[in-house]
Amino acid sequence: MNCKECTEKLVFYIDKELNNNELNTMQEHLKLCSSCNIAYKQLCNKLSVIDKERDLIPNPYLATRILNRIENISYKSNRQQQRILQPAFLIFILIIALFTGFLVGNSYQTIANDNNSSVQTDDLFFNELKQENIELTLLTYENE
Amino acid sequence: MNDIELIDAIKNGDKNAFRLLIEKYQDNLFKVSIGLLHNTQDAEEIVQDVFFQVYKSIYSFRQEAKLSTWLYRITVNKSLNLIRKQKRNKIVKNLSSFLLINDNKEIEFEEQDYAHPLKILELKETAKEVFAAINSLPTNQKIAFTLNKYDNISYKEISEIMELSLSSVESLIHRAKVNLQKKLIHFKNIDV
Ligand SMILES: [Zn+2]
Repeated sequence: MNCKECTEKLVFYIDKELNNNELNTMQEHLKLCSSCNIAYKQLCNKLSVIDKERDLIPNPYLATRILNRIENISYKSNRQQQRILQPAFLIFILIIALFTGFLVGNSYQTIANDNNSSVQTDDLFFNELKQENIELTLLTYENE
Repeated sequence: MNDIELIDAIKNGDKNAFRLLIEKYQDNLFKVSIGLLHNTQDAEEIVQDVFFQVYKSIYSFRQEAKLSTWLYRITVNKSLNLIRKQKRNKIVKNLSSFLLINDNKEIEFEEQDYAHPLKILELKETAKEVFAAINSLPTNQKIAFTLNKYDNISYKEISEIMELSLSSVESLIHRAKVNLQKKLIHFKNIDV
Protein backbone atom coordinates (compact mmCIF):
# COMPACT_ATOMS: atom_id res chain seq x y z
CA MET A 1 0.00 0.00 0.00
CA ASN A 2 1.31 3.43 -0.90
CA CYS A 3 0.59 6.73 0.88
CA LYS A 4 -2.03 7.84 -1.66
CA GLU A 5 -4.05 4.65 -1.22
CA CYS A 6 -3.70 4.94 2.53
CA THR A 7 -4.89 8.55 2.81
CA GLU A 8 -7.84 7.77 0.53
CA LYS A 9 -9.07 5.13 2.95
CA LEU A 10 -8.40 6.87 6.25
CA VAL A 11 -12.03 7.95 6.80
CA PHE A 12 -13.23 4.37 6.27
CA TYR A 13 -10.49 3.11 8.56
CA ILE A 14 -11.69 5.50 11.29
CA ASP A 15 -15.32 4.45 10.71
CA LYS A 16 -14.28 0.75 10.79
CA GLU A 17 -15.70 0.08 7.36
CA LEU A 18 -12.77 -1.80 5.84
CA ASN A 19 -12.62 -5.54 5.28
CA ASN A 20 -10.02 -7.54 7.20
CA ASN A 21 -7.55 -7.58 4.35
CA GLU A 22 -7.69 -3.78 3.86
CA LEU A 23 -7.58 -3.25 7.61
CA ASN A 24 -4.37 -5.24 7.99
CA THR A 25 -2.53 -3.48 5.17
CA MET A 26 -3.66 -0.10 6.56
CA GLN A 27 -2.38 -0.94 10.03
CA GLU A 28 0.93 -2.12 8.58
CA HIS A 29 1.35 1.09 6.59
CA LEU A 30 0.40 3.37 9.47
CA LYS A 31 2.97 1.64 11.72
CA LEU A 32 5.72 2.50 9.28
CA CYS A 33 4.65 5.79 7.68
CA SER A 34 4.84 8.88 9.88
CA SER A 35 3.25 11.27 7.36
CA CYS A 36 0.17 9.05 6.96
CA ASN A 37 0.10 8.80 10.73
CA ILE A 38 -0.03 12.61 10.99
CA ALA A 39 -2.84 12.67 8.43
CA TYR A 40 -4.67 9.97 10.39
CA LYS A 41 -4.44 11.92 13.66
CA GLN A 42 -5.42 15.15 11.92
CA LEU A 43 -8.54 13.53 10.47
CA CYS A 44 -9.42 11.82 13.79
CA ASN A 45 -9.14 15.13 15.59
CA LYS A 46 -11.33 16.93 13.07
CA LEU A 47 -13.99 14.24 12.85
CA SER A 48 -14.21 14.22 16.66
CA VAL A 49 -15.93 17.61 16.31
CA ILE A 50 -18.85 15.77 14.72
CA ASP A 51 -18.99 13.35 17.66
CA LYS A 52 -19.00 16.25 20.11
CA GLU A 53 -21.71 18.06 18.20
CA ARG A 54 -23.73 14.86 18.02
CA ASP A 55 -23.59 14.58 21.82
CA LEU A 56 -25.30 17.94 22.31
CA ILE A 57 -28.81 17.71 23.69
CA PRO A 58 -31.65 20.19 23.32
CA ASN A 59 -32.87 22.45 26.11
CA PRO A 60 -34.60 20.28 28.79
CA TYR A 61 -37.66 22.56 28.62
CA LEU A 62 -38.08 22.11 24.88
CA ALA A 63 -41.08 19.77 25.22
CA THR A 64 -42.78 22.16 27.65
CA ARG A 65 -42.09 25.08 25.33
CA ILE A 66 -43.63 23.22 22.38
CA LEU A 67 -46.71 22.26 24.42
CA ASN A 68 -47.10 25.88 25.62
CA ARG A 69 -46.89 27.12 22.07
CA ILE A 70 -49.61 24.72 21.00
CA GLU A 71 -51.72 25.70 24.00
CA ASN A 72 -51.31 29.39 23.14
CA ILE A 73 -52.28 28.84 19.55
CA SER A 74 -55.43 26.89 20.46
CA TYR A 75 -56.28 29.58 23.05
CA LYS A 76 -55.77 32.28 20.44
CA SER A 77 -57.86 30.43 17.87
CA ASN A 78 -60.55 30.01 20.54
CA ARG A 79 -60.38 33.74 21.15
CA GLN A 80 -60.56 34.33 17.42
CA GLN A 81 -63.59 32.06 17.23
CA GLN A 82 -65.09 34.02 20.11
CA ARG A 83 -64.32 37.23 18.30
CA ILE A 84 -66.25 35.94 15.30
CA LEU A 85 -68.97 34.26 17.34
CA GLN A 86 -69.71 37.14 19.71
CA PRO A 87 -70.84 39.63 17.03
CA ALA A 88 -72.64 36.81 15.22
CA PHE A 89 -74.47 36.01 18.46
CA LEU A 90 -75.34 39.69 18.98
CA ILE A 91 -76.70 39.96 15.45
CA PHE A 92 -78.71 36.79 16.02
CA ILE A 93 -80.14 38.22 19.26
CA LEU A 94 -80.95 41.47 17.45
CA ILE A 95 -82.79 39.59 14.69
CA ILE A 96 -84.72 37.57 17.30
CA ALA A 97 -85.60 40.81 19.11
CA LEU A 98 -86.77 42.46 15.92
CA PHE A 99 -88.77 39.39 14.93
CA THR A 100 -90.39 39.21 18.36
CA GLY A 101 -91.11 42.89 18.03
CA PHE A 102 -92.93 42.32 14.74
CA LEU A 103 -94.82 39.35 16.17
CA VAL A 104 -95.90 41.28 19.24
CA GLY A 105 -96.79 44.25 17.07
CA ASN A 106 -98.89 42.11 14.74
CA SER A 107 -100.74 40.32 17.54
CA TYR A 108 -101.43 43.68 19.23
CA GLN A 109 -102.89 44.92 15.96
CA THR A 110 -105.30 41.94 15.77
CA ILE A 111 -106.33 42.50 19.40
CA ALA A 112 -106.78 46.16 18.67
CA ASN A 113 -108.91 45.28 15.65
CA ASP A 114 -111.04 42.95 17.79
CA ASN A 115 -111.39 45.73 20.36
CA ASN A 116 -112.54 48.16 17.68
CA SER A 117 -115.31 45.83 16.51
CA SER A 118 -116.44 45.21 20.09
CA VAL A 119 -116.49 48.93 20.67
CA GLN A 120 -118.65 49.27 17.59
CA THR A 121 -121.10 46.62 18.88
CA ASP A 122 -121.16 48.37 22.27
CA ASP A 123 -121.86 51.56 20.49
CA LEU A 124 -124.88 49.97 18.96
CA PHE A 125 -126.30 49.49 22.42
CA PHE A 126 -125.33 52.85 23.66
CA ASN A 127 -126.20 54.74 20.59
CA GLU A 128 -126.36 58.29 21.74
CA LEU A 129 -128.92 59.16 19.13
CA LYS A 130 -131.22 56.34 20.16
CA GLN A 131 -130.62 57.14 23.79
CA GLU A 132 -131.52 60.72 23.01
CA ASN A 133 -134.66 59.52 21.29
CA ILE A 134 -135.72 57.60 24.32
CA GLU A 135 -135.02 60.58 26.52
CA LEU A 136 -136.82 62.79 24.15
CA THR A 137 -139.86 60.49 24.11
CA LEU A 138 -139.77 60.29 27.89
CA LEU A 139 -139.55 64.02 28.13
CA THR A 140 -142.29 64.57 25.65
CA TYR A 141 -144.32 61.92 27.44
CA GLU A 142 -143.85 63.68 30.79
CA ASN A 143 -144.62 66.99 29.31
CA GLU A 144 -147.80 65.62 27.89
CA MET B 1 -46.96 2.90 23.73
CA ASN B 2 -45.75 2.25 20.20
CA ASP B 3 -45.97 4.87 17.45
CA ILE B 4 -49.35 3.72 16.13
CA GLU B 5 -50.87 3.78 19.62
CA LEU B 6 -49.32 7.21 20.22
CA ILE B 7 -50.83 8.64 17.03
CA ASP B 8 -54.25 7.18 17.84
CA ALA B 9 -54.10 8.65 21.34
CA ILE B 10 -53.10 12.08 19.98
CA LYS B 11 -55.91 11.96 17.42
CA ASN B 12 -58.26 11.28 20.33
CA GLY B 13 -57.06 14.47 22.01
CA ASP B 14 -54.70 12.91 24.57
CA LYS B 15 -52.28 15.73 25.43
CA ASN B 16 -50.01 13.49 27.45
CA ALA B 17 -49.55 11.29 24.38
CA PHE B 18 -48.27 14.31 22.48
CA ARG B 19 -45.76 15.04 25.23
CA LEU B 20 -44.62 11.41 25.03
CA LEU B 21 -44.18 11.77 21.28
CA ILE B 22 -42.04 14.90 21.76
CA GLU B 23 -39.94 13.26 24.44
CA LYS B 24 -39.45 10.17 22.32
CA TYR B 25 -38.16 11.96 19.23
CA GLN B 26 -36.88 15.42 20.22
CA ASP B 27 -33.25 14.32 20.71
CA ASN B 28 -33.13 12.50 17.37
CA LEU B 29 -34.63 15.41 15.46
CA PHE B 30 -32.37 17.85 17.26
CA LYS B 31 -29.29 15.84 16.24
CA VAL B 32 -30.32 15.83 12.59
CA SER B 33 -31.14 19.52 12.66
CA ILE B 34 -27.93 20.57 14.39
CA GLY B 35 -25.98 18.35 11.97
CA LEU B 36 -27.41 20.39 9.12
CA LEU B 37 -27.45 23.84 10.76
CA HIS B 38 -24.59 23.74 13.33
CA ASN B 39 -26.47 26.20 15.52
CA THR B 40 -28.19 25.07 18.74
CA GLN B 41 -30.81 27.84 18.79
CA ASP B 42 -31.79 27.28 15.18
CA ALA B 43 -31.92 23.51 15.71
CA GLU B 44 -34.25 23.94 18.71
CA GLU B 45 -36.45 26.27 16.69
CA ILE B 46 -36.66 23.67 13.93
CA VAL B 47 -37.60 20.91 16.38
CA GLN B 48 -40.34 23.15 17.80
CA ASP B 49 -41.63 23.89 14.30
CA VAL B 50 -41.60 20.20 13.38
CA PHE B 51 -43.74 19.18 16.36
CA PHE B 52 -46.01 22.13 15.80
CA GLN B 53 -46.59 21.04 12.22
CA VAL B 54 -47.09 17.46 13.37
CA TYR B 55 -49.73 18.64 15.84
CA LYS B 56 -51.56 20.54 13.13
CA SER B 57 -51.44 17.78 10.54
CA ILE B 58 -51.64 14.62 12.67
CA TYR B 59 -55.19 13.98 11.43
CA SER B 60 -54.00 13.85 7.83
CA PHE B 61 -51.15 11.47 8.68
CA ARG B 62 -51.81 8.10 7.07
CA GLN B 63 -49.77 5.32 8.51
CA GLU B 64 -48.33 4.32 5.14
CA ALA B 65 -44.92 5.69 6.15
CA LYS B 66 -43.32 5.15 9.54
CA LEU B 67 -43.85 8.01 11.97
CA SER B 68 -40.09 8.45 12.41
CA THR B 69 -39.58 8.65 8.62
CA TRP B 70 -42.23 11.35 8.43
CA LEU B 71 -40.66 13.29 11.34
CA TYR B 72 -37.15 13.09 9.87
CA ARG B 73 -38.40 14.22 6.48
CA ILE B 74 -40.11 17.29 7.94
CA THR B 75 -36.98 18.08 9.98
CA VAL B 76 -34.69 17.86 6.95
CA ASN B 77 -37.02 20.00 4.84
CA LYS B 78 -37.40 22.68 7.48
CA SER B 79 -33.64 22.77 8.14
CA LEU B 80 -32.86 23.10 4.43
CA ASN B 81 -35.45 25.86 4.09
CA LEU B 82 -33.80 27.74 6.94
CA ILE B 83 -30.36 27.36 5.29
CA ARG B 84 -31.79 28.78 2.06
CA LYS B 85 -33.41 31.65 3.94
CA GLN B 86 -30.17 32.41 5.81
CA LYS B 87 -28.20 32.37 2.55
CA ARG B 88 -30.65 34.85 1.03
CA ASN B 89 -30.40 37.06 4.13
CA LYS B 90 -26.63 36.89 3.98
CA ILE B 91 -26.60 38.04 0.38
CA VAL B 92 -28.91 40.94 1.23
CA LYS B 93 -26.81 41.87 4.30
CA ASN B 94 -23.58 41.68 2.35
CA LEU B 95 -25.07 43.77 -0.38
CA SER B 96 -26.35 46.37 2.05
CA SER B 97 -23.03 46.49 3.92
CA PHE B 98 -21.33 46.82 0.54
CA LEU B 99 -23.56 49.79 -0.12
CA LEU B 100 -22.59 51.07 3.38
CA ILE B 101 -26.14 51.07 4.62
CA ASN B 102 -25.43 49.55 8.02
CA ASP B 103 -22.07 48.16 9.19
CA ASN B 104 -23.01 47.32 12.79
CA LYS B 105 -25.81 44.98 11.82
CA GLU B 106 -23.45 42.85 9.79
CA ILE B 107 -21.14 42.14 12.74
CA GLU B 108 -24.16 41.18 14.85
CA PHE B 109 -25.32 38.76 12.20
CA GLU B 110 -21.93 37.07 11.84
CA GLU B 111 -21.73 36.45 15.60
CA GLN B 112 -25.23 35.06 15.71
CA ASP B 113 -24.43 32.91 12.69
CA TYR B 114 -21.80 31.07 14.73
CA ALA B 115 -23.74 30.63 17.98
CA HIS B 116 -22.64 27.17 19.03
CA PRO B 117 -21.25 25.70 22.28
CA LEU B 118 -18.34 24.03 20.43
CA LYS B 119 -17.26 27.34 19.06
CA ILE B 120 -16.56 28.68 22.52
CA LEU B 121 -14.31 25.74 23.34
CA GLU B 122 -10.75 25.10 22.23
CA LEU B 123 -12.23 23.36 19.19
CA LYS B 124 -13.48 26.65 17.83
CA GLU B 125 -11.23 26.82 14.77
CA THR B 126 -11.44 23.10 14.02
CA ALA B 127 -15.23 23.17 14.39
CA LYS B 128 -15.46 26.06 11.98
CA GLU B 129 -13.38 24.18 9.43
CA VAL B 130 -15.31 20.90 9.79
CA PHE B 131 -18.72 22.58 9.60
CA ALA B 132 -17.63 24.51 6.55
CA ALA B 133 -16.48 21.24 4.94
CA ILE B 134 -19.85 19.56 5.69
CA ASN B 135 -21.73 22.62 4.43
CA SER B 136 -19.83 22.56 1.16
CA LEU B 137 -21.04 19.04 0.34
CA PRO B 138 -23.72 18.67 -2.35
CA THR B 139 -27.13 18.77 -0.62
CA ASN B 140 -28.06 15.09 -1.01
CA GLN B 141 -24.63 13.95 0.22
CA LYS B 142 -24.97 16.27 3.20
CA ILE B 143 -28.45 14.99 4.09
CA ALA B 144 -27.54 11.31 3.82
CA PHE B 145 -24.26 11.78 5.68
CA THR B 146 -25.90 13.82 8.48
CA LEU B 147 -28.78 11.38 9.00
CA ASN B 148 -26.34 8.49 9.27
CA LYS B 149 -23.56 10.18 11.19
CA TYR B 150 -25.55 12.30 13.64
CA ASP B 151 -28.40 9.97 14.46
CA ASN B 152 -27.12 6.55 13.39
CA ILE B 153 -30.09 6.10 11.07
CA SER B 154 -29.85 2.94 8.96
CA TYR B 155 -29.23 3.21 5.22
CA LYS B 156 -32.63 1.59 4.67
CA GLU B 157 -34.51 4.23 6.63
CA ILE B 158 -32.45 7.01 5.00
CA SER B 159 -33.53 5.62 1.62
CA GLU B 160 -37.16 5.90 2.81
CA ILE B 161 -36.69 9.41 4.19
CA MET B 162 -34.99 10.64 1.04
CA GLU B 163 -37.13 8.49 -1.29
CA LEU B 164 -34.03 7.08 -2.97
CA SER B 165 -32.79 3.55 -3.60
CA LEU B 166 -30.60 1.87 -1.03
CA SER B 167 -27.63 1.83 -3.42
CA SER B 168 -28.01 5.58 -4.06
CA VAL B 169 -27.84 6.22 -0.33
CA GLU B 170 -24.74 4.03 0.03
CA SER B 171 -23.11 5.89 -2.82
CA LEU B 172 -24.07 9.32 -1.40
CA ILE B 173 -22.60 8.55 2.01
CA HIS B 174 -19.45 7.04 0.50
CA ARG B 175 -18.88 10.12 -1.67
CA ALA B 176 -19.63 12.44 1.24
CA LYS B 177 -16.92 10.77 3.32
CA VAL B 178 -14.39 10.87 0.48
CA ASN B 179 -15.12 14.57 -0.08
CA LEU B 180 -14.85 15.41 3.61
CA GLN B 181 -11.57 13.54 3.86
CA LYS B 182 -10.18 15.50 0.91
CA LYS B 183 -11.21 18.79 2.48
CA LEU B 184 -9.99 17.99 5.98
CA ILE B 185 -6.56 16.48 5.36
CA HIS B 186 -4.06 19.17 4.48
CA PHE B 187 -1.40 17.58 2.36
CA LYS B 188 0.67 20.75 2.43
CA ASN B 189 1.79 19.84 5.93
CA ILE B 190 2.40 16.22 5.11
CA ASP B 191 5.02 14.78 2.76
CA VAL B 192 3.07 12.22 0.81
ZN1 LIG C 1 2.15 6.81 4.00
